[in-house]
Amino acid sequence: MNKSSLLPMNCAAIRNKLSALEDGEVAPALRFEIETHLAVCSDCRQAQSELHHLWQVMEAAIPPPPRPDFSQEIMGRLTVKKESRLINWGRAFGFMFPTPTVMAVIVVLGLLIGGWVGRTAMEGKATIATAQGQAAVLEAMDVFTPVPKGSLAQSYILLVSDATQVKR
Amino acid sequence: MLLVADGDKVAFSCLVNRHQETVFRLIYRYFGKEEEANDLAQEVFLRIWRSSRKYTPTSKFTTWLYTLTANICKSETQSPWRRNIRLIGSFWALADQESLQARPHALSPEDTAIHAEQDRLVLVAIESLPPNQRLAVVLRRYEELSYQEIAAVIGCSVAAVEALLVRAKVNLQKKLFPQKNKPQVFRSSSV
Repeated sequence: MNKSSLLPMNCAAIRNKLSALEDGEVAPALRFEIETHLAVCSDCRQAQSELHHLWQVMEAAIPPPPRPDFSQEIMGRLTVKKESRLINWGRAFGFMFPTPTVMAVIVVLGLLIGGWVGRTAMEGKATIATAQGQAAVLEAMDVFTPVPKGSLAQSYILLVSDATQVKR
Repeated sequence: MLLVADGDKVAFSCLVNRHQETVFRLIYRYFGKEEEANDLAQEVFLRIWRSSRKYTPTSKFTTWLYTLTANICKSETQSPWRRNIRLIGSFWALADQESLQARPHALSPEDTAIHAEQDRLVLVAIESLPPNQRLAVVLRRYEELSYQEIAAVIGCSVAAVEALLVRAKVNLQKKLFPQKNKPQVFRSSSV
């Protein structure tokens, strides 16, 4: 069973306020009431003493000082962060929008390389293009005649002419 | 702080020098680990620098600073990384033990050992508290903030702060004095 539930209401309420009393966060009227109670209640006085002792013991946790170069490290991290951001933004910006000179150089280089590659390829093909090739080209021009060779129209004409010859 | 908001690094450096110990102390007492306190304190100041443009002087600067520090402490407590590290074990135990023993006072080896043990027990007891209770204790006991200021930092009512402190003190008593009549480690410093 909870010990506080066995205490008179007054003591339980007072003990809840002992912490605030220790911290000096109690209104004067309430403080007077608590102190009056403490004068007659040894259990609550004991609780107050234990609380006071606890607060004194807590003083033990003395922290060491921060690192000697603490502020320099922070300032260093500020600089590093800023520089790295600038570099990243600069790179991204450079990729997105190259300067006009760089663009002109890229275009000229593209034209030169494209011209050279194209010329080389055409030179190779031109050497292959012989008389036989020219004949093939002329034969291919047959497509522009009214009845090109191998077409359905030519087959029909041949069929009709064969049929007429047979009748004769 | 207004100069810092304008990007003045010299002003920021002054601000760091003025408040570094406060921030470090708070984090150290919250986590009880020196290395971690140094790293997180730096994180606090970097966050101040980054969010300085958004700073509006509606309350005291120190209250804003404590709030920022408290938020970082709480989020660090809840981070899965930290929880995993705690599960694996304390990597800082040895270094922290050394730092606890490195006191400027000229004490005998025995006294130094007793003080180091007291410090360790207090820090462990504080660390065992839930985050808000821990913050309330550190802010009240060591930073000596009023209940109203603590309420502003934690973001709750004054009555809630009072309740937090009552529960925290009960928990600390249980941790530090498990047998009420035999406070073995703290006998030498008792009243």
